[in-house]
Amino acid sequence: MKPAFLLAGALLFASCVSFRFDRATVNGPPRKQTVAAMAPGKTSLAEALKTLGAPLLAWEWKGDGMALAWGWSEDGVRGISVSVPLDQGGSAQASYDELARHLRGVVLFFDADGGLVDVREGALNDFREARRRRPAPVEASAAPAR
Amino acid sequence: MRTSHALLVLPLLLAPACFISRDTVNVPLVAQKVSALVPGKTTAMDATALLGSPHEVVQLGQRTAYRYDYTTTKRAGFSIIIVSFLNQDTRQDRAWLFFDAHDVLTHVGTSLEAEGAEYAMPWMDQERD
Repeated sequence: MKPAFLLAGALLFASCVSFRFDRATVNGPPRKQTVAAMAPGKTSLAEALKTLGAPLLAWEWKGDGMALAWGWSEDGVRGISVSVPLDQGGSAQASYDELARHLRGVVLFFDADGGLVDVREGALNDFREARRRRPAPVEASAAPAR
Repeated sequence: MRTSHALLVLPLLLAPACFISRDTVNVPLVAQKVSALVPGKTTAMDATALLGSPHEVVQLGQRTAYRYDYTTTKRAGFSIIIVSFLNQDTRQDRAWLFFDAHDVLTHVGTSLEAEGAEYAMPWMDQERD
């Protein structure tokens, strides 16, 4: 009789409390020396693209300049945690922007001539406001005829 | 006899608790098509004829940048009553095309890593580029 109680308890327990061991990885981080080799005043846009590959994000920076971000995540939850599911909402299908929100990475800032000006590392979400900024208006006289 | 029965029952009990799944967004980038782009020659019109509509267009002052991407996520997991293990690996193919004020390609950045996404368990080492 006792084992039956234990089994029933375990099965019921599973519906409200679970021990999870999860890991989520997104893209691969570049080698540390690769990022360290990015030198403001020396590295060009072409060199950065060749070394780091395609960025995850790009946005306008200081008029004709640009900021390029590379992001990755490999920490995840290594270990066992106890969770109580109180609510399960939201979409499993994260958008491209949503994906970038949870990543760490490196952001390179280039001037209008494609020269590297600044390098910053950290959470890509910290640059969200800068990305949302509306691009500067293009003067009619400056715009090329298309 | 009992041992062999137990060995048969055990996989039957564990198998229903295992799963793998894969999500993809967009279609994989074709390396040959991307390598056909020539900075200084290819125009934005040529690029869209070759690769289709970009998934994002970013204004960079007088210039523009087009993003093409493909994302694949592979998940593998299993649970035993109250303990569950889940691993999720997301990799992308990405290409950014940078055009000058005259819509001529100046730079291309490419990363083709989506194929490297793996089904694994949380404790397993995953290959990284």
